[in-house]
Parts: sequence; C-alpha cells; structure tokens
Amino acid sequence: MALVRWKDRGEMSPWSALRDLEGQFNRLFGELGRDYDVFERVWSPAVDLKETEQAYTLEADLPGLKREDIELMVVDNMITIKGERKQEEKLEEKGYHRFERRYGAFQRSFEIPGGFDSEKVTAKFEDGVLNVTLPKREEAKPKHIEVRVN
Amino acid sequence: MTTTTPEKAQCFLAPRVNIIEREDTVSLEAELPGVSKEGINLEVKDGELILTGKRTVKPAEGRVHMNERPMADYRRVFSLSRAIDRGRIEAAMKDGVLTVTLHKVDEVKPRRIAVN
Repeated sequence: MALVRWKDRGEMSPWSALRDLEGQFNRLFGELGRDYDVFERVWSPAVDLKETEQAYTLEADLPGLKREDIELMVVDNMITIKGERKQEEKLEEKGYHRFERRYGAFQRSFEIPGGFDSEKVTAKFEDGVLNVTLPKREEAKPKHIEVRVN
Repeated sequence: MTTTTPEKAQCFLAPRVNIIEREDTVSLEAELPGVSKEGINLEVKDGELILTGKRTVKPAEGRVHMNERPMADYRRVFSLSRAIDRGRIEAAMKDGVLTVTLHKVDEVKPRRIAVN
C-alpha cells in the first residue's frame, strides 16, 4: 500500500512537469478562453491528522462526494480512504465558462504511528468533510501511576 | 461572467468553481468543504455577486501530524453580465458544494417565433 503525499495540482504522475507548464499557459491565457486541461486531472483530498491522548483524528476535505462514494479500509496500522467524485451531468464543452472542479477517483493511505483499535474506528461525513476517529489501543494510552509514600 | 480578485484586507481562499451556462440559466457550483448552510453569504452589489463562506474551525488540540487543510474562510467575487436577472438568484448547499442558479433575463432567452 502506497503512502501518497498530497499535492494540489495532482503532481503524482510522470506528467507533472508538463502539467506545470500547462498550468502556466492556462494562467497566461486563462482570460482568453476556458481552462483547458490536456491530461486527465488527478486529484487527492487535503487531510489533517491530529493526535490526542485518547485517539487520532483524520479529517479530509471531500466536497461533492456522497457518503456512499467514500470507502474506508483498515489494515494493521494503516488506514486507507478511497472515493470518487462523480460528475452528475456532462454538458457539451461550450456550456462551461469555468471548469475548476476535479472529478474521478482517488485513494490515500496513512500510517498511524502508534497504531489504533480497528474495532472502534468511527467516521462521519458532514458539509463535505470526512471525520474519522481512530481510538488508541489501551496499551498505547498514557497511564497515570500513583506514587505512594509510606 | 468573469472573476475578479478579492480585496486584500483579509486572507481568503478562492473556492474551485464550475460555471455552466444553459438555455435559461447559468449555474455556479462552488466547492466549500467545512462550510455549513448558515456559514454561506451571497450578496449582489454593484453588478457583482459576492460569495463568502465561513469555515467551521475547531480549535487545534493535541499533536498535529499532518496539516494540509487551509483554515481560512472562502471568498470569491463574480461580475454579473446584464443577461442575469438580479432578482432571481437561488442557492442550495449540499455535501460542501454550493449551487447558485442565476436566471437569465427574458430578453436574452432563446425564443421560438411562430410562423403564421
């Protein structure tokens, strides 16, 4: 399973250099026409990963996805988010004045440093943001040991 | 409809948008993850449509391992052409995507003229 770093312009493909150039051209000529994209766009959601004493929380920006289009998988210390943003209707090209939204499938995996209790993972999806709570295993939680004085 | 740069007073994020023209309407779709229906503000002023979205920000707690999500609010200004009926603008929010439906004024809509 691959750990995929987030890059905003989908620079995970060998086409990244060309894509950059294309981006520059789009910026130069952006006002003359629509933002054409020669290659298929790759997208990957932005993610925050935080850790508290009790759990890890993973938040991902997934605007325009439906609950049923999101899939979560856990293996060992790894959590994988898979999903697809589906285009509801495809109009002929001349109907678009701006086309900045990305469509298609993505997949990202994250290794959770100290592991988590895979039986207790919960997830919710609200306002286009996925929020996953990965509770720590009991043995990974900090313990308070009382010091007794005789 | 063209876009203009927002004012520099505060740092905002420009949401990704699709602007789609249909026969009678122009649809604007904006990606606003983390913005609830209550956090949206749409304003028509001096021929411009001003969209702002307040992101629900939770105070950072614990240790941060990854921080890719920008925490600024959203703002983008669109200039409206004369073909848009300023009085008929509808908006709906779903799964972090705002869809604004702008109706064209009757004069610019395609019309069928009956031949007698």
